Amino acid sequence: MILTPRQFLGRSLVAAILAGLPLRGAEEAWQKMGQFEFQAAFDVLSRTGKPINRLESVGAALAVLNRQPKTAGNTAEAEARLSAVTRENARDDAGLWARYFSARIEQWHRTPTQPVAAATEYRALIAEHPSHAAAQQALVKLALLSIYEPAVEPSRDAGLLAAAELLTRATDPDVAVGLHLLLGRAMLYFRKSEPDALTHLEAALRGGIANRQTRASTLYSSAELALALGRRESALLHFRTFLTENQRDQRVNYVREQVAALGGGKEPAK
Amino acid sequence: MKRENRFAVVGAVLLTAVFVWAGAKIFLRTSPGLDGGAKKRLTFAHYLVYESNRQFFDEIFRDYERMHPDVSIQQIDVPPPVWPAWRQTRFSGDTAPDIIQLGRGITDEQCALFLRPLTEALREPNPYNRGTDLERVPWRETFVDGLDASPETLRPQLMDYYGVSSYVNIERFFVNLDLYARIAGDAPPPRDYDEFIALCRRTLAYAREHELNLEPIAGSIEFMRNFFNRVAAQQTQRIARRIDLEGDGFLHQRFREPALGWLRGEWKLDDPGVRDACETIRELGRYFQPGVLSSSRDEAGFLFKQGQTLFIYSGSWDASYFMTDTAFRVGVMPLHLPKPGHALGRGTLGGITELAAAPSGGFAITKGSRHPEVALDFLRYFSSRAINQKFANDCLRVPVIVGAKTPEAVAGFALETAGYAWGFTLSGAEATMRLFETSVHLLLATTGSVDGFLERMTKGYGGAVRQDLQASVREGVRAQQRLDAMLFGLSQLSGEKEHERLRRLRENQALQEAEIYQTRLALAENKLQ
Repeated sequence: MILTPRQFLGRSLVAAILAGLPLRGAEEAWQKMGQFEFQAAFDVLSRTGKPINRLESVGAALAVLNRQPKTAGNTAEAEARLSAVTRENARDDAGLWARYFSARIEQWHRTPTQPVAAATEYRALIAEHPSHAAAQQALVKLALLSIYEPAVEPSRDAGLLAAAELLTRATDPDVAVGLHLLLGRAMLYFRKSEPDALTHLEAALRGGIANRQTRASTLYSSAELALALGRRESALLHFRTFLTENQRDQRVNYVREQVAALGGGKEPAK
Repeated sequence: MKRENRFAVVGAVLLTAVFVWAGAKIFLRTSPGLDGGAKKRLTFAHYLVYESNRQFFDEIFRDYERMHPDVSIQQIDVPPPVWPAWRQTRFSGDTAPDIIQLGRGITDEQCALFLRPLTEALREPNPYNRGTDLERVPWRETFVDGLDASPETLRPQLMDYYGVSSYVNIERFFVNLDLYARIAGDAPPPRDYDEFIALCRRTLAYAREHELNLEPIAGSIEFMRNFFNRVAAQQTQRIARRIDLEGDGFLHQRFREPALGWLRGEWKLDDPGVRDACETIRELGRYFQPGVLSSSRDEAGFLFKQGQTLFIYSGSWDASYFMTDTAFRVGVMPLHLPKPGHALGRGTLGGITELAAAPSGGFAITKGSRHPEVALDFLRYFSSRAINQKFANDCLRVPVIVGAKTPEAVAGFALETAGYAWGFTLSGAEATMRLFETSVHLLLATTGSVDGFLERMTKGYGGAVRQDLQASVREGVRAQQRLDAMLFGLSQLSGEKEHERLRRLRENQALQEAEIYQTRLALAENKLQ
C-alpha cells in the first residue's frame, strides 16, 4: 500500500498524538501484573509522569521482585522499596501490605528461606491490625508455617494446635474457610484425628468453598471420613450432594455405589 | 574523475538507493492485518494436519467469510513434532497467529504472557447457537465439561479460561474387519482380556498357517506410552485408594501422591497391583510388531494400512486417517484389561471410567492478534453446536458441545461411562519417565522378564522419584512467587469478577503452598530411600 502525502501526514499526526497521551495509569499496571507482565507493569508505574502513590509503590516493588531475570539484586531492590514504604508509615494500608510482602520475601524468595523471620512479621501484623486484609492473609501463611515448618514449630501437634487457634482471629469468611481446609487436609496428611479432620472439612463446606473441584473433593473426603466414623447420615448427605453437583467426575460410579450401600437408593444415571 | 572513483560513486548511489527503497518498503508496508486495506485478515494455526481437518477448516473459513465479507481467514498447519518449538518461536518473535491451538505442553506462563483470557466472553451465550436449546446458555456451559476439565481451557493456577475445546481424544484399537472375518469368522469381538489374548494367539496361528507376514497389533513409540499408562492406571486403582493424601478418591496430580506415597513407604514396586500391571504389559507386548519401541507413528500406521497387523493401538485422533481411504473395512474396539477376579487383576477395582475424559483441541486468541474481536467471534462460530457437529462428522471426531452426537462411523469412541477413577503410572514426571523408558524393553523383549524389569526399576526408582519431587517443589515455589504479585494486582482492581477470581486464586494458593511443604517434609524425612 502506498500512502498519499496527506495520508502519511495524517497517520504521523495521529501517531504523535497517541504517543503523547497519558497512559491509563495504575489500572493498566495492575492488569499487567495479573498477566505476569512484570517489567511492563513496572514500566507503566514508572511512566505515569507523576509521583506514584504508596500502594503503587508496593506494586512497583512486587513487579521488580518478579521481573526477569530473577536475581538477588532484584530481590534486594524490592525489599528496599518495601522498606521505604514501611519507614514512611508502617500502619496505613500500603504500609501493612508492604510488611506482609516483606514476610513473603522471607518465606519464598530469600535463599535460603527464612521461615522464622516470616512468622515473626506475620504474628506482628496479626497482633497489631487483626482485621486488616494483609493480616487476614497472614493468618493463612502463619498457619502453613506452624503446621509444616519445623523451624517455626518443632512439634507437629503443637503446630496444628497453633494453627487451629488462628481461627479465632479470622474475621474474613474466606480466610476462615482457607484455614479449615488447611487444617482438615493436614490432619489427613499426618494421619491425625479423623473426627477433627471431619469437623474442619465440614466447617469449610458450610463456610463456602470458592473452587468447584476443591468443593467436590471436600464433599468426598467428608463423606468417607463420616463413613469411617460411623456417621452414616452425614456420609449419605455428603455423597448425595457430591452426586448432585458433579455428574461428570471420575468418582461418580463409586459414589453411586456408596449411596446405594448406605440405603440411599439407586441414583439415576444422567 | 578516475574510473575507480566513478565505480565507487555509482556503488554508493546504488547502495543509498537500495537503502532508501528498503526503508520506504518497511515504512509504508501494508499492515499484515489488512488485505488490500479493506479486509481483516485472521491467521489460524493448528497441528491437525490430516487432509480431512484441512478441508474442514477451509470450508468453515469460506463459510464464515461469506457471512462476514470484510474478513479473510488463513490456516497455518504445522506438523505436531515441531509444534512446541514453532509456537515458542512465534510467541517470542511477536509473530503469533491470531488464533492458536493449545496443548502439547503449553505452560501457565505462556498463557498469561501471550494469550487473551476468554473468561468474560464465556459468561455470555454464543450467538451462533441462536435458534437452538443452547440459545440462552452461557457459552462456557455449552461444552460437555463446562471447560473445567482440561488445562487446554482452564488454567487452575491462573483461574482464567484461555481456550475453547473442540473434541475429546479417546484411546482405542482400530481393527481390520476384513482380516478379522478371515481369522475369526463370525465370532463376536473379544469381550474381555482373555478373549483378546486368545484372538491374538489365533492371529499368529493364522499367519503361520497361511505363511503371512502378519502380527496381531501395531504400535508406535508415541502411543505406547499411553498404552503403558493405561495398563498401570487400571492395575493401581487399589493402591491409589491407600495413598490418597486428601482422602478424596482421586489422585489430582497423578505423580505427586504416588511419589509421596513411595517416599512414605506406603507402596512398593513389588506390590501385587504393580506386578500384575507389568505381567499384563509383558503378555500383551508379545503381540505387538517386533521393534515397536523404535517404530514411529507413521511406520505403525503404514503396517496397519498395509494389512500387516490386525489391530493398531491409537485413538480417535487417528480415525479419519485409518477409517477413510483404507483398502479394508475398519472398526474400533476398546482395550480390555484384567478385571477383579482375574489372576492379573489383583490391583484393579474394575475398568477406568471415561466419564470425565478431558476434552482437547483447545483454541485461544493471542495477545498479538490485530483483530481480537473478530477472532473471538470466529471462535464462537467454530464452537457452535452446528459447526462442532460438522467437525465431528467430517473429521470423525468425538464432539464436545452439549447435544452434538458422535458420528455413527466412530460410535466405538463413545465414552465408557462405567468404571472407576484412574490409579497412577510408574512414570509420572521427567526422571521416573526416563527410568521407565530405558527399562521397559526388559518387559517386552523375549529375553526379558518382569523380575528383571522390576529389579532395574527398583534400583533407580527412589532416586528418580526424589528428583521429580525436587523439580516439582522448584516449579511450585516459582509459581507462588509470581502469584503474590498477581493477587496484589487483582486486589487493586475493584470489579466483581476480579473479586471472585481473587477468592478462588487465594484458596488455591493456600492449598498449593501446603502441597509444597508436604513434599519438602517428605523429602527431608526420607533421606535414605
